[in-house]
Amino acid sequence: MTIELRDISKHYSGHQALSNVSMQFSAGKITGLLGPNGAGKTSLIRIINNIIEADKGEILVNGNALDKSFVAKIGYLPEERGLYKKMKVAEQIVYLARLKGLSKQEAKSACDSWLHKLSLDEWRNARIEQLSKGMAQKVQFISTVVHNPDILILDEPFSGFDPVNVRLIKDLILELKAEGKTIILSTHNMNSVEEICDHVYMLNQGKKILDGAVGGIKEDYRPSAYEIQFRGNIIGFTNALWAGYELIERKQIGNENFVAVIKLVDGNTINNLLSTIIPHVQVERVEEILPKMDEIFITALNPEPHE
Amino acid sequence: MSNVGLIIQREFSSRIKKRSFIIMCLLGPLLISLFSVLAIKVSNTYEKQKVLIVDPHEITGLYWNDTHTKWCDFEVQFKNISDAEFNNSDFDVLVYINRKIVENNTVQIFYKDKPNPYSRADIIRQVETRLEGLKLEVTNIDPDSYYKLKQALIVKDKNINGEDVRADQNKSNIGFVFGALIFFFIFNFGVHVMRGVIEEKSNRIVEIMVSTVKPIQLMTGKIIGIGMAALLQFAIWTALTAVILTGIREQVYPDVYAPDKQVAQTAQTSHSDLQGPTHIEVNEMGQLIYEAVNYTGMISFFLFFMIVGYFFYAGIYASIGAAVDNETDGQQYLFPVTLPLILGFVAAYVTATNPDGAIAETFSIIPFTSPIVMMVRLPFVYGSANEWQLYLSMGVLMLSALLMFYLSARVYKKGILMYGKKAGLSQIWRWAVKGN
Repeated sequence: MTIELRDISKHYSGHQALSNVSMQFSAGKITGLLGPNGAGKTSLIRIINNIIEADKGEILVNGNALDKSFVAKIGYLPEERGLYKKMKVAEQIVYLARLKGLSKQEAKSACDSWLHKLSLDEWRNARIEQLSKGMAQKVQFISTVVHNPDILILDEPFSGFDPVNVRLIKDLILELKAEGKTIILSTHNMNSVEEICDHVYMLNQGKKILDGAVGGIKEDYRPSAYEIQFRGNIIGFTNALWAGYELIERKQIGNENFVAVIKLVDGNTINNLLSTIIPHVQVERVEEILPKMDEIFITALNPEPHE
Repeated sequence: MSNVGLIIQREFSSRIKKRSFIIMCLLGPLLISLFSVLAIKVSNTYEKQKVLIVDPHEITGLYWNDTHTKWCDFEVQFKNISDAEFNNSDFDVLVYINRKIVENNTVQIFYKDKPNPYSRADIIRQVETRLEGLKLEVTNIDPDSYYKLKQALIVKDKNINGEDVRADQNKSNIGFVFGALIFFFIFNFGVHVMRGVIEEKSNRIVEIMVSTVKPIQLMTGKIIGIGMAALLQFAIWTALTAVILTGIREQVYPDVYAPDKQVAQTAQTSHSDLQGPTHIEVNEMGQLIYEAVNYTGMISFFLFFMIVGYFFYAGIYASIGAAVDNETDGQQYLFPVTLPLILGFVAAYVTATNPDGAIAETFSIIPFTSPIVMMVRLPFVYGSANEWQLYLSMGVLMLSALLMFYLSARVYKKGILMYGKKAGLSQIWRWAVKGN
């Protein structure tokens, strides 16, 4: 199922939450929705969820205008987790599944299957307030996916989980992706974005400031820097980089054995760099430094350092 | 099942499973029964009354001179007495023996203070006993045959100073009790609605809920579900109270009409034996609770005013819950919303003493107070020339409840998604009226 947002705008009293935002979320893909706090992510998610209405713009689902039946096809995991604390685990999951249109029998059966999958069988009759935070998060996740939605909107799905369960949830998300679900992942966890997202949108102050495949964005934000390990005289090495290069960092790792990070400037290439230093030192290893998503995040928000 | 149906079911079942609900279901009838028994017991503390038998035709003779019962001291005089003379005398009750009493079986009772049920029963029994004696002397009929032939004594009583204020007081007391019950149910379950909304908002489940159902569906389901729990509680209260009061009736208010009771309560009761009881178990409050109240009628109107009144207020309580961020903030708004209910309670108290006064009429029409005040007026307006006021009140309340529900839904829709702060009154007003 493909969701297309066209020129979505939303204004609250004295505050423009979203300005002409256009995005596309495709089936079988995980799309990251990034942005600092207050960027407009929650408003956008609420608009897709039909919780609030956009002032302007339209949402198309598989090319058609949004209709009521769409809501039942969404599984929404909000950042602020919410469950009825006094309700029993299975009771709660079945209730939420039935609200999404499953029959009582279907809901019970799906609930049993998911409880088993996440090793919560023996907790089915416990009240939510009796569960640990991690277990409650698992119940929340089950409530999101129990009705087998075509679209999953996951807001910070890994928060509250220990590393083992983070892995478990990641695997489940990838499983759902493989089943062809359209997955929107809103998170500040850049490692996860890097690891599982196919495409990324970044919002800032209600505007889209980044749009692209994870690989493409990383390519765009390459800093043109290389880590070089060499053996030889450090003074000769430094002198050779006098013009056209910037020595960012250097570290001695042994007798006349160094690792340095060099940034290319003035249009120089890696070949130029190697030609420059090879006469002075013996190069042992060269590796390009690729940007991490959190660096891209910060750079995109503060564009000055990125030239 | 529709989503609203599912929400109703959840709200209803989660409420009735609560320990507090179960405790209240048991405690309510116990308290009501206890209150009723106390009222009946307190009602037994009547004073002895002085009764003057006026027998200008000297039919009953000197029988009365030594007649003293538990509740009455009798004296006889064989000449007529004027109202003024009676008023100036120290007698409380006057019984007039007409010339043809043996044939017409009728006496007239005049009183300054209405004879309490005990003294009234004593009077009737004594007059009957005397009449029976006379008839037996005259006819030479054996007692068994006589009592088979005897007709009921007809008694007509009249307050020489005007209306029967005490009966009216009793009517309004019963209305007041029903009004108080409405106050309790609206306030108690209205606060349940408010707390339920705050709970959903503070634990953020509302975000999931409104991504699935419309806010108005969520609010409607909650209000109906909790309202059904209120109705169930009322039904349990009614049933248990009826069972308890019926079960203890023999101890607190014996059924004087039962065939095995040789007791005269009113003149329509006939003796089957010459030996009447020395103590007559009649109690005004008991009579009111067990016999006088038309429970079917009262409960029908009670249900209408409770249900529609609850809807009127529940929307307001729901919108307060949505407009605040936590229960402490909710308490601040609770008072202004509960104030009209308290005002209704005060107006009901005033209405109990003057059911047709301006305050009673006004507050029984205003929807904020009418569910409580009209219950007090109900025994007076129903079947009277003012009955139209009852239907006007019901109509106004119904329309107001619909309007209030609509406005509350607008506030609720905006409020439930606002976190971290509470809405001010001006903002709530803007949401309600302008919708933004």
